[in-house]
Amino acid sequence: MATKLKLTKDSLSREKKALARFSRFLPTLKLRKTQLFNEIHRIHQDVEAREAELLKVTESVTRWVAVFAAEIDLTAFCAPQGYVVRRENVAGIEIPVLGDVRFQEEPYDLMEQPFWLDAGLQSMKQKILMELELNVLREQLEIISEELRTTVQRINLFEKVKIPQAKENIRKIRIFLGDQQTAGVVRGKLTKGKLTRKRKARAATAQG
Amino acid sequence: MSEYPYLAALLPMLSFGETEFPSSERFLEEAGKWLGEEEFDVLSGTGIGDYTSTDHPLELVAEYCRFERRIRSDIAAYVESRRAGREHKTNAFPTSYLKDTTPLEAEQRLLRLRWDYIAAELNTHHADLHALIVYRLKVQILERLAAFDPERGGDHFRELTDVASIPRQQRAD
Repeated sequence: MATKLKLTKDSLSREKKALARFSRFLPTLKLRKTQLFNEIHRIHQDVEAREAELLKVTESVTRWVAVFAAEIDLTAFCAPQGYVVRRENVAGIEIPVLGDVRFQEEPYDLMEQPFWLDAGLQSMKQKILMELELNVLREQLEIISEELRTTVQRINLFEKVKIPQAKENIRKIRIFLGDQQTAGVVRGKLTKGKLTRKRKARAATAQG
Repeated sequence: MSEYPYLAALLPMLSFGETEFPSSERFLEEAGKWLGEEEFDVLSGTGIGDYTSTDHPLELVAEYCRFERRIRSDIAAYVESRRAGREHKTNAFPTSYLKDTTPLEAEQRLLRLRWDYIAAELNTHHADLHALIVYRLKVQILERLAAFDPERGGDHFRELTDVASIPRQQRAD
């Protein structure tokens, strides 16, 4: 339930301060919206570039993927051990950034293993790295998009609700206070007229 | 020795790339019924992956091992050079077998090279242990070729590159 507007000088001062605060925040929020929008655009471009690279690798491997059916345990030569995700501040918010990706690699005898193993391990590593990069970029997009959504909501709240409401409240209070002032002046004049008339009547009675 | 013609008569002709052929297991099982223990051991101990038995008492096996060693040495030298960003010209086969081609095509060409070598250089006997060894080598080549299955390979590659199970470590820098 909306609180009833108090038509007082204190209330007018409060509304003026609120309007000044909203008007001061609005450009900051708009700047933040632009920054976030630019970040989203940049990440989208990164995602598209990585997706294109991943597709290229996948399509290239598809032509010879049959070799992976051979009975060789590739993880004995190269196995992903883990990856680090750092936090970086972008446009005032923390987003994940892919750090080191660790692989447990074992050298192998080239005389013992088939020719395709070298290319197979390389493609496996390449695809894992690209998949991880893409996953982290998609997480970044999610976080920044959510922040952008909140910022746009705040801008709309300020632009379409808070600022017009404060202006309207100030207008109402000013009119009320103006009316009160006018009424005061009129009351004063009426009282003054009454007193003057009474004084004149008393003077006339005293003379007569 | 007199049993070889009977066994040879049971075995179907093999040609490179065909998919219908007796498996190594089936072939050895059949051979085991006809061969003596010593001959069977020689037959079952022979394989296209053997490059170390270059002084094998059976010249056929030793000859194949020398050939396999030449191929593998060339492949190893080629891969090492490629890793170092250098060129390597192969001697045992044309460099184009490995260069500017997919790893699958390279493996298929190398298997064809082995097949052709066996057919041209070693296939000089009929219905004896030599012939059975040649047959076994050919079966193994066909098995290797048949193992290159795109569907199973694709599934395995997807499993290998599935990042969902890789441990993630969060770090606040």
